[in-house]
Amino acid sequence: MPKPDFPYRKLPGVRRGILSGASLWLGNDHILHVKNTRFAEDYRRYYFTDIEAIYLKKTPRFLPPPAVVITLILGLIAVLILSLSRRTTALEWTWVGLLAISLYAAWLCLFRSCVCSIQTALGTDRLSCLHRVSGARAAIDQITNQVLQVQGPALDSAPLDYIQEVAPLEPAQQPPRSGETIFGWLALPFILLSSALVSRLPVPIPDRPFGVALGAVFAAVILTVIALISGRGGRFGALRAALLALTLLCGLELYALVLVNTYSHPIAIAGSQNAIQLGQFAKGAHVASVWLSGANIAAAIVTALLLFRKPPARSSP
Amino acid sequence: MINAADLRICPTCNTDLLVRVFPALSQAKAVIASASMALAEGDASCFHHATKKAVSACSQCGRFLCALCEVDLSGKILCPGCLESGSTRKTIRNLENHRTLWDTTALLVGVAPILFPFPMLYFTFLTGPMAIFLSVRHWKSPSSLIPRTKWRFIVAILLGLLHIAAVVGLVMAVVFASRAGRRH
Repeated sequence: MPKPDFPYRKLPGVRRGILSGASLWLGNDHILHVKNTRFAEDYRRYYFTDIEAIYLKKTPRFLPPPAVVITLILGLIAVLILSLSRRTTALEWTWVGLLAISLYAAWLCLFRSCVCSIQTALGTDRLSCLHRVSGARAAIDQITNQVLQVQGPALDSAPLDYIQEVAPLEPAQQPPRSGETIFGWLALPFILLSSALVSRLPVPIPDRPFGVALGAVFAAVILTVIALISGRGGRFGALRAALLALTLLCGLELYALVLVNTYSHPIAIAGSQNAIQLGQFAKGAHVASVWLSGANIAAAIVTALLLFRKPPARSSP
Repeated sequence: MINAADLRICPTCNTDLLVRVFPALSQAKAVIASASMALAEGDASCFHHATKKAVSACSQCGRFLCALCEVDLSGKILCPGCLESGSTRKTIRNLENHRTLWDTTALLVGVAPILFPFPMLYFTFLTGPMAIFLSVRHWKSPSSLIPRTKWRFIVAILLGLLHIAAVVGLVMAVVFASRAGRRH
């Protein structure tokens, strides 16, 4: 029961982030969506009389909050700085960072999530706090009960005809594509992990480095082309896919450049018995290459997140 | 699929959906139609629209309002002017859409030198008094609309006092050290 001085009751579902959060509260005649930015709170009220519809759409993955991604990228850069200042090989630390990112991406693939939207006469808003199916369904049930008490009984056939007129349902014309986002998420860590593993391999002079680097780039090209083909339709989806391909190619080409530079550098060549450990990365002129490589890989991660992040629902399903 | 109890697969996009549609979706047209009703002879007119029929009066200023102008806010009918003034002066709680969390701000000011010793440690002489000032100044300021305790303010005050004590202790140590140096 809500207290007399506090007319809200908490609804299931909450989003907690490093820099932001969100929650949903049930009031006497409205629901209150609270968006917390740590130093301030923004409120949005949806009155029961104004709510026209609520949608819940299942998504195949957990949507990573931008704060987590930014922290991850900053961590990667911090590791790079540490590795350079303490004379540790940069590629070893990069490998650790990439491995962490790959594990993180794989962990994300294990979750199933949902997107929840509420529609009023003014438009459709996303309820960011309802991102778990169980919590969202419980919240929607409670909201539905309150709304029906205010607006009257549920719709009969006549308004449903009205809905059919507004948004006629068409039969499915395309085959299901439920696996494409999971494929995309798995493709990215695979590329990063394989690149990282390549950097750990002992590469004999003179043939293997070029072959391995070109092989990695070639694998990236194949995977990004597959991602492009199997990507969601539409201009926006294709643009995101193109961005992903571009950044991945740039990052991997630079990575190949680093490999070749390391191979051709006299300090690296002066390794033991005509073989170089690419972990023995020379400092100095190659630092910029490492930075470029790291920045490109970070850009690839950000672009991938943009690519696979579903846009908020703006139309009725 | 619409108003189903459980999630159903959408025949168009092949995703699992739960759609709840409410009567307001079909009633929106009726409201607009009633708002456009013309003024008949002998009817009171809206204060803002002379050609529209008044259907209610503002509960604050008493002006007659048509269906377009009236705003039903938690059972109270308000006109656009009262709504605007209530929103500006924050006298209507239901119109507030933003609040600053001063307790978190004060706590961060107190915690910053601990979390980021460089370069915030050099500003301890500022952060301590600032954390205490923010906590005391905004102790009674309206906080979040949702339940929130005062523990952040208390911790900020304690941290502020700790900062001041550390600065005073450091200054005293320097003074005593310099005096001792002069004696020797």
